Amino acid sequence: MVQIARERIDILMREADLAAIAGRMEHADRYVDLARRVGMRYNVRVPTAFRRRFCRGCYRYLQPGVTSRTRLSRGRVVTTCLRCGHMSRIPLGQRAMPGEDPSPAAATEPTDEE
Amino acid sequence: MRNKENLHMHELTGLRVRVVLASDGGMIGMEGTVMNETRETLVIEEGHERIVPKRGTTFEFTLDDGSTSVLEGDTIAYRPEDRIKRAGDHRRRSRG
Repeated sequence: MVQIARERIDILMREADLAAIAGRMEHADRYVDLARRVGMRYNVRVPTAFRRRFCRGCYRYLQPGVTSRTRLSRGRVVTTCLRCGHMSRIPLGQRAMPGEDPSPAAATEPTDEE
Repeated sequence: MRNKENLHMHELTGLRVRVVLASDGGMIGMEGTVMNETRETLVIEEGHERIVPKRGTTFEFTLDDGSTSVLEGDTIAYRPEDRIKRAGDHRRRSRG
């Protein structure tokens, strides 16, 4: 069951990509919604790569340049959803281990601003 | 992978489908790609979107490897995210 859920999330997110490329955002949004529902029902995480393709605020598909804006700021990738305005910030570079102080990792990553 | 055995609990979105039998005779022979799914219907697109009820309809799906699989609409009349669990039960019940 879990295996099928994983496959379905994969299929749905690929369909979302194709729909978004074809400019059919309402379909892409629906596929994201279904992928999340399948994941929640069977306790399967949506893989990180796919999770970054939809907005954490409104759960709609993010098509860079069309429904999202990507900027670099202070060593982080800032993705702004152009539909709800939600900003997600993902740190660049060395990943801090859970429970560890993330500041040493941040310190080794020089910011190109200021 | 989607196959004949697990299709009733797998993802139908994106597959080619043909209506083999339907309680509404006008829907028989309708073909297209599954664009959306609700508990009671499939949205099939070929030029334009058509909403086909699952109950009372027999579908023939074309799988990724080109083979076809026939499913009774009644056996997949669950919410898409519930089908993995409940459509499996439905089959077991109808066999036993």
